[in-house]
Amino acid sequence: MKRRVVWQTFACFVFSIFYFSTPVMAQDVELVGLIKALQKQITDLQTTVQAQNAEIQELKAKGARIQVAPKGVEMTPITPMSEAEFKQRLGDATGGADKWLKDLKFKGDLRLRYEAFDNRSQSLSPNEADSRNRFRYRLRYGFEKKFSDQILAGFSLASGEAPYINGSSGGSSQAFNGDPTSTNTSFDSNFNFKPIYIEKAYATYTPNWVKIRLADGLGIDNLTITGGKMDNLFEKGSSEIMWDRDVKPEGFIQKIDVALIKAADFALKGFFTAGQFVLDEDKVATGASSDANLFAFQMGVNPVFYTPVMDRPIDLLSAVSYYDFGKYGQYNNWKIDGASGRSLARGNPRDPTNSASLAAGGFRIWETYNELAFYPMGIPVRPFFDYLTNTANGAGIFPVAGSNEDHSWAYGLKVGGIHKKGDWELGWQYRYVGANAQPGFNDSDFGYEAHSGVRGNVFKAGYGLTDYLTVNGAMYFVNNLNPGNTRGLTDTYGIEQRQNRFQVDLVWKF
Amino acid sequence: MKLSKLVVRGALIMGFAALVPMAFAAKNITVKGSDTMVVLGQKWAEVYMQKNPGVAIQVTGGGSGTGIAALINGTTDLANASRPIKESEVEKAQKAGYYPEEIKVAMDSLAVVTHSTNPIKELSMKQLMGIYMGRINNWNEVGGPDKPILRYCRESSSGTYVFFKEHVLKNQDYAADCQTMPGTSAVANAVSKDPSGIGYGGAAYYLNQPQIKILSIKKDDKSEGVNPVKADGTLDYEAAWTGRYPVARYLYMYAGFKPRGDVKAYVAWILSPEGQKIVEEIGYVPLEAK
Repeated sequence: MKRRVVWQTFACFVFSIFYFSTPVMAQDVELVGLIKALQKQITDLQTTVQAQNAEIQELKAKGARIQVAPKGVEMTPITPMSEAEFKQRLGDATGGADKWLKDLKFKGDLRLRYEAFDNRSQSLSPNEADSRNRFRYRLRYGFEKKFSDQILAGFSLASGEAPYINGSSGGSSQAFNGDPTSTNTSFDSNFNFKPIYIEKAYATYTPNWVKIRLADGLGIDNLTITGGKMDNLFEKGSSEIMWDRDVKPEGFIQKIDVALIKAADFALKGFFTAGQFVLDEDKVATGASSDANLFAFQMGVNPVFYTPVMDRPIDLLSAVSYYDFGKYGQYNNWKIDGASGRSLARGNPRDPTNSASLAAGGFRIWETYNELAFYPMGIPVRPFFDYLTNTANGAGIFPVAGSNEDHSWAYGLKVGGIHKKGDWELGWQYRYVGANAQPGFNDSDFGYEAHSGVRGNVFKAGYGLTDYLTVNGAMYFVNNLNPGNTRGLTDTYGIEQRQNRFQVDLVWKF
Repeated sequence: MKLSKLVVRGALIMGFAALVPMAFAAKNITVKGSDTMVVLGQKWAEVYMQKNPGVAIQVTGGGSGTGIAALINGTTDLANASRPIKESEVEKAQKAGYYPEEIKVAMDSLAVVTHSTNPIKELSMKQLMGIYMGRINNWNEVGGPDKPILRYCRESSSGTYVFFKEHVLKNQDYAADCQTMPGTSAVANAVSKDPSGIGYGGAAYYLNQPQIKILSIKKDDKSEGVNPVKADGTLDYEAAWTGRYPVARYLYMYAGFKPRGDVKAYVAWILSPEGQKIVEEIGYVPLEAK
């Protein structure tokens, strides 16, 4: 019996060796064949070179000249074109465009989306499911010109929707994109042509003289000063409970990056960002200016440290932000283009005693954001936690039982990351978005029309089909925090009890 | 024996046996990047593979930027670079989950050369900048004969071109009439035949060339001129290490994160006396022994 077991075990082992080694041995045979073929090619090349060398020596000895023109024609020696001459000829051929094209980068993307809604409302009869299916596209395209190492400027255009053209009294007749948190355009309106908007128009100064090294691992890495309509740098230390990723603020941003510590297995960097933005200008109310502005500040640290258990380091980002939305909750400043314009207070209830103000009174928001990145078996895993509180109404930092409307929080996890063909990513997060915690610049997909006063889960997945094409899917399961209660909301959709939303996207980058 | 036990045992053994060919397979290390370093990189790889037959190392050029981009894409283990990585490249790498680890592996002294008959022996950095920006156009403006200066430079894709532009020209443009040459040996060939010419390139290319003179360079008008080559015709390593010679640069290797395993062993060997000996043989400046 024992002998049989031994023989069986040995037979399995030998079979396995041959089974798994056969492809390796086959590869070795193939490799040897390839090497022999290469050796033959090298030998043939060497023979050719020797023959050509002999011919060259023979020609030199005879003093022969290679004639490309009939006798009697004077031959001009061919000299390589200088770079100056090449640049001159290129400039002449392109009409001077070569100077403008230098250091010019074009960038854009196209997204095609299918989206399905399933809304449930107690106020409608009976539990009506106001379902909707739609197809949408998003187009963004622009360029950036680097004038020098320190100065660049750029702009980009984006699609959008202008459902409201405000020609009513008190407003202008201009059409704005209906939503600063969305650049989507729906397939709609009988094939009619769709608008395009200016998404960004900005200039950036990055002075070199600021980059100083005080010691190894200590110094200023970078300072950027940007003006115009620009990317929102505050997204770095924030999540979508505060900022939708389509928002492009207008004003000025300054960001400084510093290196603090550098040791063998540990590095610490920090950053500070300040923003001065215009929300709504040239508003007059009761003899005083009621222009709405945003002053924003964000400070963060980024320690990176190696552990014995993983090849890649652990990367932590921890940031604190303060947003002062001056006069935003008053004088209808949250409406696009006047008192009759489209409201951005989607889910922010009105002050019951004053319809021109929001119940939040104002928005002075403290936010803390923390994200960890680690790489088990080389796969990125990123859990995060985000918490914010609006102190404008006198609310404390922490929520009080029964009164969470001034606070929002989110936590979740992202696994993977898409950078090239074959990459994938999965994500999940839970969000609680208090009705008075932040204005309507947060995620436009989280709840139908109600950016605030909602809570729910988001699931996402994506895959890189090629280096430039990704397919993404998302599911949102959102509940209204105050169902069946309009509470002075400006849109009736705010009373929806629950909304499930499904999206499938194809995104091309170019 | 029960069938189930046989199946389990067989599966375990096959699983173990699957590791056998992997254990004996050659370990691959990919190195991409700087064309300046490709010859050095290939020599390192060749010698290391002879001593470590179980390791296969592939070295290709394409430029420093190409190597760093491959690092960010995860398609190379090490990137050769004749310039430091940019902050924007570090940010891009971190977004992709890589944390570039910089390793200085050698130095390169860039020599400034003229024809051996040119009486000029030294230039200041300011004069050199003026010549290559087109502000100084005659040798008599820098104490030489009354002859127009013919400038030779490298093509814009070269790391040597970029280094010279950043460190000598302070990121300003070269003169429009610079003659672009496809390599340092082409610069050497041109200058050796042109009494009015001036060129630059790795110092090792100009050693033992009687038609070429290597100039001393002064940091400023008050400093003493320093030559990258000693009187005995060998490279002055100390001048590069201490920064006395102002036109010297480090050559780098970047890993996606702190090297481990075979990559760590290879990098450690490059930094060892044996690896640095190869740097000397190729004609670059080895790192200062500590």
